[in-house]
Amino acid sequence: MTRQLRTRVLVIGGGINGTGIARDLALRGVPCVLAERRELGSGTSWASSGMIHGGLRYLQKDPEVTEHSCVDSGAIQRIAPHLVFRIPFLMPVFPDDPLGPELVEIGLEMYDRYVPLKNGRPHTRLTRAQALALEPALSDRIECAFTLDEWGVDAARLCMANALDAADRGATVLTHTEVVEILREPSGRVTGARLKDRIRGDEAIVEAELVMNATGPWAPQLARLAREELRLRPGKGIHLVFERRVSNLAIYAKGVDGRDMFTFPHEQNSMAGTTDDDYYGDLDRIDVTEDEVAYVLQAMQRSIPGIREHRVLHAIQGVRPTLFGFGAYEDELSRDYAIVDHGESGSAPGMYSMTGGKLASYRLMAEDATDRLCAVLGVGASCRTAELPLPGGEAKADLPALAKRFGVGLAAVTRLGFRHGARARAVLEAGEDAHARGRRTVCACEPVLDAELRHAARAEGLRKLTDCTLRVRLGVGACQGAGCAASAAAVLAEELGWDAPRSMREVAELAAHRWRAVAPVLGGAQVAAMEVHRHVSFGMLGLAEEILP
Amino acid sequence: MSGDGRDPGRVAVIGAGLAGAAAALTLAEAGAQVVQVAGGPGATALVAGTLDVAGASPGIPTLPWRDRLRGNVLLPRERLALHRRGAPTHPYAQLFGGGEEIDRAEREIEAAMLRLAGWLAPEGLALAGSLAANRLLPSVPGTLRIADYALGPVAGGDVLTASELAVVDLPALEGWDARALARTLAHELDALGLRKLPLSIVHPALPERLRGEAGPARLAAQLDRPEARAALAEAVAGLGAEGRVLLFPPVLGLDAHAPLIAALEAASGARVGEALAFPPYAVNGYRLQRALDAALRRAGIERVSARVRSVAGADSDRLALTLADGQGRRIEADAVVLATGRFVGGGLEACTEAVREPLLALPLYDGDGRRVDGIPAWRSARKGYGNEQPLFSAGVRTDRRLRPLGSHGRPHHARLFAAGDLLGGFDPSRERTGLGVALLSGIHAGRAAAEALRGPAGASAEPGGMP
Amino acid sequence: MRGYRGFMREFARTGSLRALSLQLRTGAAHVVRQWFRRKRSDPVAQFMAYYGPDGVARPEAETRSLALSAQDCLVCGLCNLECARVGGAPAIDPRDAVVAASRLEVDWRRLGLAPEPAGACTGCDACSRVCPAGIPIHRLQAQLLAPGAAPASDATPGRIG
Repeated sequence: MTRQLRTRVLVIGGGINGTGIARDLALRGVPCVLAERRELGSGTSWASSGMIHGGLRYLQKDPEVTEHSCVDSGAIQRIAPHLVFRIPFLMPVFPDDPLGPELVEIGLEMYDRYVPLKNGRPHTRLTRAQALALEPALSDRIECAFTLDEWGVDAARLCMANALDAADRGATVLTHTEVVEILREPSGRVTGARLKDRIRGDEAIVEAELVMNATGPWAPQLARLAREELRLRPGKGIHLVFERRVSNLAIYAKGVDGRDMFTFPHEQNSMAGTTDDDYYGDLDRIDVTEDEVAYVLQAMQRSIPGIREHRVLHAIQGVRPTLFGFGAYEDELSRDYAIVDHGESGSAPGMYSMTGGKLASYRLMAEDATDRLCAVLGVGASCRTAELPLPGGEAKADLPALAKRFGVGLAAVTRLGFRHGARARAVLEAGEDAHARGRRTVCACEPVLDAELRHAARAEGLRKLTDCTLRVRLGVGACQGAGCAASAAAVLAEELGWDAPRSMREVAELAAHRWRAVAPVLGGAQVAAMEVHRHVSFGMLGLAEEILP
Repeated sequence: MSGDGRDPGRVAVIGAGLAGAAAALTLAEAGAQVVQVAGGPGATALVAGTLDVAGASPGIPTLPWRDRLRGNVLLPRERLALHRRGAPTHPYAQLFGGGEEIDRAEREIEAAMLRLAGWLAPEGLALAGSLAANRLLPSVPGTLRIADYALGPVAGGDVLTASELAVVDLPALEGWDARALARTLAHELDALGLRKLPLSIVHPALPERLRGEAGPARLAAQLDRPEARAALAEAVAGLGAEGRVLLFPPVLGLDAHAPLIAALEAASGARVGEALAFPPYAVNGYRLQRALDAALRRAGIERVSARVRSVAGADSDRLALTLADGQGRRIEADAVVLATGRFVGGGLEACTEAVREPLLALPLYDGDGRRVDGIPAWRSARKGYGNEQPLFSAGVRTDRRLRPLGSHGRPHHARLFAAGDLLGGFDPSRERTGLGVALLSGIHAGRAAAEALRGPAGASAEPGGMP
Repeated sequence: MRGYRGFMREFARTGSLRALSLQLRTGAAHVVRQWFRRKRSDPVAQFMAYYGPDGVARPEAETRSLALSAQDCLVCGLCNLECARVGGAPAIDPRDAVVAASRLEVDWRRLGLAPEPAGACTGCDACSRVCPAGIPIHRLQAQLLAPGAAPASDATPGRIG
């Protein structure tokens, strides 16, 4: 029995753009359905650096972009203060750098005009000795250094927060739901889509007045379902994730080809990256190559000579949906965005596609897209996504009090607070059963509490164990899930009604998923950790080839 | 020792896991002078409690989720026979010769296990099992695992000799979910086509301090104390029945597990067993390591607590260990047994650009003869998680006396031996022979080292079996 | 001016009149400031004033070397077992202390997150001796409890920890 859904807008794609648009629509009272093929944010959004930066590099070409980025960065901080964290940057200047310190400083002084928009601080200029005092790991070849700051965000939780708000206000959010067919009238007008739930296997027909294709790098594939051509210049980027903070400051590093990269603190870790290469391979199986890893480490080593002593946990990879531009090097392509109206540019009226853009300005893009959709729908409400806080952003959580009240460790409640903000209390309360099971730690590395997993299953639509890597950062630490996958599966089995074979398959999938992330960068202490990982998977759980994806 | 009144000669054993302990105890029993140098625990301290000896042969899978072996689980000696025929690069080939001599292999395994049991008994850590019968032990998540031999606390959980099983519920305990265990266990039993085993969950009324809210480690330590033991025994009184097994989480004491289990069995009338647990709750590995440490102390073996930075000595010279203790202390020895393990133990290292054996830069080979040292770890890792991984079956190659070979194919040193996971050619997590290799090669290396001290050993490698 | 070529290349990339005007104005102001050599305040103190309220503390060699050691953690749990066996009951388990030490020079007290001194680890170092990776866990515990400055005010929106 195929479900029938009627709505005004079908948003396809649950990354930052899709969820941002769904939230904006919901806030304006427009019924919408969001369909995401995998997990929210699991595509490009999750693989981004998570920096909602102000766009320093665009100052030369287009200060408008910088200004908008800074304004939007400020907006994101206001609406989701619990998800963002400040990242002070250190920008070393080497004698062989193409730009001398004076020019760099002029650039930063230009940037200083915009930083108040994003609650940033003005730059400072440090001598070599002062820079080394603040960050002893820096190379002593530097001439001088500058500091500035940007803000970082947990991109997957940001997607989640947008989706939660949308769902709270009436949107239907479907994960692990694929669009298998775009429905059209004989005239060519797009009227909806046929969806298939990839876990349950059942289908649904969605009738919608408008369809928004916000699938990021998959946009051309999806557009082809409506027989529309869409051009992108997909740009692959990788990051290396270190087991813990290399520094609490982000440090600029130049690649051998002059590209700017950084090693920056992100949540519990540091990340190093990123790359930008044209990519035409399988978007669902993006490999991390030796060259990319070597390129990133080589760059980092110039700024931080001891970088190779730090334990690399795994790599993350994604593909940017960069706007198409012929002839330019990847880095020089515009980070601007474009909303394609397939009625104007093609012959599928009623369908729109988002192309280009970046995480930092997602809210602006969503606002622009929603404005256009609402104009067509005749909805006059204005955008309020910059004013209203995202779930959790309403107030600051009193973390020490929560730790005491619920008898949980400070580290655990801190992480809970960073993911759920004001709603941390509700998460803990929901986990309080007669035996206080919710207080138990499930994943020691993050840490993740039992209560948070239950909350994700009951109130956030969690459906698969592997998705916990994004939602609650389970299994992405030192043990890569060896110690916690089975326990987490037990919690979810209870909440979601999994039988034993299903639980085991989920555990196997997580184990293989982590191996894929670790293998390309396997080395150092991580090898011993994977020895333990395999002992658990093969020695204890008996995971066999046929259930390993 | 040498009959002409010379200095008896000193053997340094590097590593104090099962392989190193077995080597040192064998040497001490043979009257050799032993110094054991060990920095910290390795893989031995992380085991779940089973001692795999017979192996899973290539082609005969480990217990799969689906019922490929429905009702047809091979006995340990049958598995051993298959294994011997199918694994020519496994260390067992060096220990037992060709695959035909199954009887000899069986006898040596049984003898070794008896010795191990003797070493562990004074700490109350029993060793159960034989090559004539399997045990099928439940893990914390509820999967079933074939075991040849097993430590006392987990041996009690054997489902093959139980007529019913009751899982003890401790809802506040980290890492323990009785319902999930029971559900998974039911499915495993069904998939194996075993007779129906009635499963249930029991909820003993526990005093607050024994509910495990502070975690399994604290609960286990608490249960070492007599008053806690009495309280838990009282809570399980009468929960037993004929042929019933009470399955507990991995918390039944750290040092006083034996009296605790005895008290629980007496009070409940049931057999008591712990579920197999993996890190970070691997309490049986912890108990095993402590029992081995106690056995080494009892044997009066000199112990230096330090990591070794390097070992020097070529051909037939005296060997010298340089310690990584900040002062660079040196220890000289006439023979050395390397029982340093793999990556967990530090016997193998994955430095920035290359995997290596840090003490002597010995060449490392996987089961197919591929060199693994000198290249980055990720190059020896294959994409699919379930694929064979050269990186994780790599170690040193040895001659029949367990002397590691250099890249020229000859023993690196006449009196340098290797034992345990440091030996390459097998993947412990897949092949289920890990502790068997450790124990047997440790004993074998100890004997070989003692023999080497008895007379001047030439640099040539004589083909020979067990001394 | 060093990097003439670099300058010309960057200049040539200037994308708009607005950008050009911004560059020229800022450049001129910069040159004027340099000319008059206006004494800058201590930039390191300035840096700490900017980011201290978010929890950044000055880096210490001890902290760094401890972090490099702590990164080898295998999450084996032996530290918890040994600590419990010797009768320890610190507010933060040894295993959790190793995880928490990923924050480097975050001033836990500034963020109002430091554990109560009453629950402190006694420093017996049983955990360190049993650690397969040789991590000096008791020193990490001490670091987590190191005294810092007064807690931050509510007005601070950011966090580094």
